[in-house]
Amino acid sequence: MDDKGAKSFAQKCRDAASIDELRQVILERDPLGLTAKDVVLAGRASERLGVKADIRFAFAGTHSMNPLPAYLKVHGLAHGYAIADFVAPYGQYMQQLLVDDSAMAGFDPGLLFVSCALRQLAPRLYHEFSSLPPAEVDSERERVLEHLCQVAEFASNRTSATVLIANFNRPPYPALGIADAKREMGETEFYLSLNLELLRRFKSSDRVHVVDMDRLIGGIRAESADRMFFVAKNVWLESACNTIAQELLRYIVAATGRTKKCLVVDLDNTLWGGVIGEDGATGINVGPGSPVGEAFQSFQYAIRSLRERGIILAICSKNNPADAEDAFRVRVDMPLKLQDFAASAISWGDKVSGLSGIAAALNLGADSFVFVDDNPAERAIARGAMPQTTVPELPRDPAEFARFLQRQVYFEKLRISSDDIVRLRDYDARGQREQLHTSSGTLLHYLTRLCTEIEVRPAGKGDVARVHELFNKTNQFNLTTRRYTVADVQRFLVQPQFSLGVVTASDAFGPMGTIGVYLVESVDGVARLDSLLLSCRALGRGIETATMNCVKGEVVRRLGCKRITAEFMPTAKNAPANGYLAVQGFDLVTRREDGSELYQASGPGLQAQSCEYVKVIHHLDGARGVE
Amino acid sequence: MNQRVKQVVAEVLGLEADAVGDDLSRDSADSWDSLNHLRIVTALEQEFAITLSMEEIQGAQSVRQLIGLVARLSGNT
Repeated sequence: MDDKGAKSFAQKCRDAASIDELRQVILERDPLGLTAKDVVLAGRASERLGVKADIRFAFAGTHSMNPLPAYLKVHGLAHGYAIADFVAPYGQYMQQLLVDDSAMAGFDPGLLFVSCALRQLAPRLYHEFSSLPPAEVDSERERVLEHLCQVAEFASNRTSATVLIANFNRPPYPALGIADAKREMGETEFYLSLNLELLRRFKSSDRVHVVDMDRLIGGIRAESADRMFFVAKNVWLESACNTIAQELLRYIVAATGRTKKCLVVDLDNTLWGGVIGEDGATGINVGPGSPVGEAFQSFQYAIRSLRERGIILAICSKNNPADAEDAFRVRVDMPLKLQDFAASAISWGDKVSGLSGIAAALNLGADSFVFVDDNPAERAIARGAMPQTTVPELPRDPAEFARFLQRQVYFEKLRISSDDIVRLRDYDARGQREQLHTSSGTLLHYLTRLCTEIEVRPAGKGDVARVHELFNKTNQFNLTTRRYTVADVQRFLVQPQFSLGVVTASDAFGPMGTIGVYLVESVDGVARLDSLLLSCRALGRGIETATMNCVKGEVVRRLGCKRITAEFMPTAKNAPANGYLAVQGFDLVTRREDGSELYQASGPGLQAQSCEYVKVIHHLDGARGVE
Repeated sequence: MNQRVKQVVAEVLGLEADAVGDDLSRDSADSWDSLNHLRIVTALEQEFAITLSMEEIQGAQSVRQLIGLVARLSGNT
């Protein structure tokens, strides 16, 4: 780093008057190129600005974790996460996990990262591999795996954290050299099988995730990492800390449910080279045959795989709609098809209106979007007008587009569920529903023709991931906006005072997947509606009423309660849920100083409300019954 | 050269340049832990195009010793 750049970064950090300004300063640098000094400067600035932490992240393991926590803080800051950290004292990670009232348990981490170095966990495997008989290698591997399973189990029991376990990075030079490949259970085979087995053991877990350190730092020179271990008892070279922090950030994004929902792309010089209005469908550059064409093709493939992850795609472009459609129709060799996009704003109007139009059509908030445009001016305008929308600095060279998109942390999910795919089709069908809306005359007529059907049933193990996602991502129709962790959700499934219900829906256009959740806690004959939330895709068609009818039915018939209390806690985003309880027959009991409202319903208030255009299938206790 | 060594130490430890005297050592500076020690060594290696052995890294525990070491290794006594 040159001194001039360092000074200006230092000065900018010192001058930042708010955390948002500091975030901009960090974002202007390549996050993977942050130096130790940058991290210290940015860290000091954030301490000076005194942000309130919203992520609690704990580190534990056999070796020293420094300086990774400082890097993670700065990377988090760049993405709007204020991270408080806890590092288990050196050499005491098991004690911290084994004791109920340990400092770590007191810290109450939301995420816990555990990294064990094989040179410490199993020194013989690390140092004397070539002298160990295969049977001993096998038993040592089992011992290491058992240890990590125990760590995961203790961590799951003692904390409510999402647990991240580092796998083992292969040494760059096997002890037997290239002949290692021919040995029965050679060193390479050992590491691959150890990591493979680790991956398999936690594949079905919703709490425990394996961080692939082997992939992340495999390429880093081990000679210098050795010095790091001998002197500072850390196993990562400092230059690897940016990469590792970025990877941990992915888990933070996914675990807190702040995954972006929609990628909006520009067309000319973003999806293809050239300008469709001037070059025509046969003139634009995309596909094999030229380096630039291949780069754009590769970018399209990267976008398409986001769609397969359940991310909604949309177009926002200044063009004649007919020209743009022509490009997709004529260039059948493009990986992306017009029908891959759930919404589009193609016109000569400004892009901010285009983005707002897409948000309205998909019923998503501006903060759900990532907007990718090759034009720096358009990006600046979009950033200025829609600060909640993420507008990354696309590299200038199309050769870097695909990798750039893959490197972004915004679209991470802990698991891709079949619901993600169903939801995607639902967004695609949305356009068709809008059409029906305009041709159906009265709203009631429209709702009847939609043939909406919901199924309400107690949540099971298979629902944990989606319920967790709904708890953390639903902002609009959410009575209390209580965010729960995977551990919380699992607790609701087993503790008898809780009734956790899930709502799935379908209509004439197909299944919509799981679109709602409610949580009732009943104590001494009184039920308390802790949470009720519905995906915004499902609103305005009677599902709100049909769902509450099911909640009432469950409270009265299954729980045997005569009264239910409920709260509305207003946020910046949940206006759609305001007034809902009153409409559903609840009486306002009190309005608190913080604006939250307490309601209750009993007697006639517990009767179902008319909602004839939604067919309801309600399973109480899993017993099938159509109501 | 003395000033350049002190500058490196000051930057890594987050101290003002004039707070770094010849007598500053791992015992007297709180922030001079093993990680920062290695950061100082790495920065000096880059600054003076030298390479320090593990023994030299462990042997140089003060600014004075670092200056002596850099002078010797860079043939700059």
